[in-house]
Amino acid sequence: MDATAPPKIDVRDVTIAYGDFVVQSGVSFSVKARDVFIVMGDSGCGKSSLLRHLIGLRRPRNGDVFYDGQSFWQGSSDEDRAVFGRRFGILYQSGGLWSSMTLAENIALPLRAYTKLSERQIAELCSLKLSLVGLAGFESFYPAQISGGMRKRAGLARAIALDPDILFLDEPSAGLDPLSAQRLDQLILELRRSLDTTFVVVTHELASIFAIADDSVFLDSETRTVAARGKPHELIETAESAKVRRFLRRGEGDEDGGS
Amino acid sequence: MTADDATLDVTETQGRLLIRAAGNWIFEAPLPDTAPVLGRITEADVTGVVLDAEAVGRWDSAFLLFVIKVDEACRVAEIEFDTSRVPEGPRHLLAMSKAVPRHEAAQPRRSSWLADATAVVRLTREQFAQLANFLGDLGPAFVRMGLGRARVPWRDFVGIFRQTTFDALAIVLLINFLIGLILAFVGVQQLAAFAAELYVADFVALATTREMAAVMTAIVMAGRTGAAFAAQLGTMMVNEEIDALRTLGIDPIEYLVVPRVLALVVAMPLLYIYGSTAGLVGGALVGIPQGDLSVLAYFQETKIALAPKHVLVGLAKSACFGAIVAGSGCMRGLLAGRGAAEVGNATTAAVVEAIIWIVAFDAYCAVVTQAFGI
Repeated sequence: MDATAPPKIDVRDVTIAYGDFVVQSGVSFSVKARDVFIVMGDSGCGKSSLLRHLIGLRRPRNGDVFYDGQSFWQGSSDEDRAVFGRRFGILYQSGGLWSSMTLAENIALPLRAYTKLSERQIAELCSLKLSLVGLAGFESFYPAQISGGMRKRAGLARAIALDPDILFLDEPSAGLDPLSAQRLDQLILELRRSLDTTFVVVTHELASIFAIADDSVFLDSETRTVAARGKPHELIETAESAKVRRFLRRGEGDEDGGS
Repeated sequence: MTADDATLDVTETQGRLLIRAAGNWIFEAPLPDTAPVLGRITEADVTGVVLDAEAVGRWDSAFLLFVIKVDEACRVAEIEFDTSRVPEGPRHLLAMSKAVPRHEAAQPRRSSWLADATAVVRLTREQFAQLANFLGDLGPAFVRMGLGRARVPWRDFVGIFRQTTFDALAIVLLINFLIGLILAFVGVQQLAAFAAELYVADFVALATTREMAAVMTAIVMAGRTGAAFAAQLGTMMVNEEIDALRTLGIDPIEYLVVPRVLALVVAMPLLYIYGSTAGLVGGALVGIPQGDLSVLAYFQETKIALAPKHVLVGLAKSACFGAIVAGSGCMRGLLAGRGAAEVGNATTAAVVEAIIWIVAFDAYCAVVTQAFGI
């Protein structure tokens, strides 16, 4: 890593807890700019909770998150975090689209809130973002009128509305057919290449992990801390934790790697 | 203007347009007017367009929007668009935006004033059809239950019964007590004009047992339990739980609606007796001091006024109100659509319909009991 520039995202010793129940403790990792960074782990390990801590929805019990070297939790007020948040694009697990608005209105809302663009420019931008995710012509549809895969893509269109610096995707390919999931992966790589966006993707879809990951972290639900860090296709051979190796092999083959 | 601001200029050589874009094409910075350039593309003498964007510095969707507009204009004019001198990022995004053809199928319809008016008529007709359907399913389910051939979950029945009775005691008490108070206040003031304050006891007893206790309790339960039923069943509909029951061969009407309707039909008369008592106590607390009456005389008068037939009418109406509240709640829940907003709509519809039917049915009862002299 470049020693002079701080990493894009630096997570330091974060503890995730709900009441007395500690989900994860001592979570530390850093994400380089323009990387597609995967947060993976078994069910219930706290992947989505970690994401909520990264985007400011929940304060970590301990530790801090740094964006470009700036403290997000300990050294920032709520207003500071709101300013930070404008650089984020977030795709929620079930799309998170506002059901009472059309797709175009969904994308227009962040634009109206944070830019001084004219209504015409906003309308053009909405069409542009929808066309980027393959939904050209669906401007006046309501979320309930389109399929689940289309809702995911529309959610992504809203996430990229403000040309974000960092995109957080929570289980982007869950519930999608393999072809749609593959298309979404392509979209992520294309956006990263064209817009220089940094991606943090929470997922446990192996095909997706190997297709898009530059770097990753594995959260273990049993030891309740980070079990492995690194590139997934290296971890499959070199991870110390047998669980991580098994996870990445989908439980197939011998422990010795005989598959 | 600074040196880095976005600029745009056009030169033409033998029908080929060379568009040069330079500077920072970002929304926060001033952007050149693109309309003349786009207009130039569609002129007849133009045979091709080259976009030279090698001098573009920082860019965001603003530049992409321009590239896409140029591309669109070229498509309309049926001329070639050379993007070889556009940086890789926007070029790829342009390709991505065109990867899936525009969806041209029927757009969702916008409603007009006339369409709204006809929709009201259609909706009303639809609602009556839905009601007929629902009753057509519910009736046979009750018959099957009577014959002991229905799968009614009695454990659920107990839970629902408890939820509709014990958990509602506080609010039913409060509402009926206050209504009793109000009745006595109004009654004493009017009867004082005839020096007939004693009859406030008759007035409170009659109004409470025949009308107010039954109607007010029913309205409270429509807001409390009818809404809860609609939300429960609506959520089950959204979560495909109802479909899961159906595919298992379990009739959702038998399994979900019958216990709820039964629970309220039993619970409402009990709540009515409880509510009436609260109303009578409330009336006495105001009527006795305000009318300057003796406690004994007030109770004597109440006892005379409280003929069994009034209580029986109240009990019978309460049971029917119970069926109305539970029925409209369950019906709206089962008819809920698939979105999250549908649960809210179903809940609202359930409460509104229940209240309308309660009042309408009560008016009908008033006429019928009058005609038969009950």
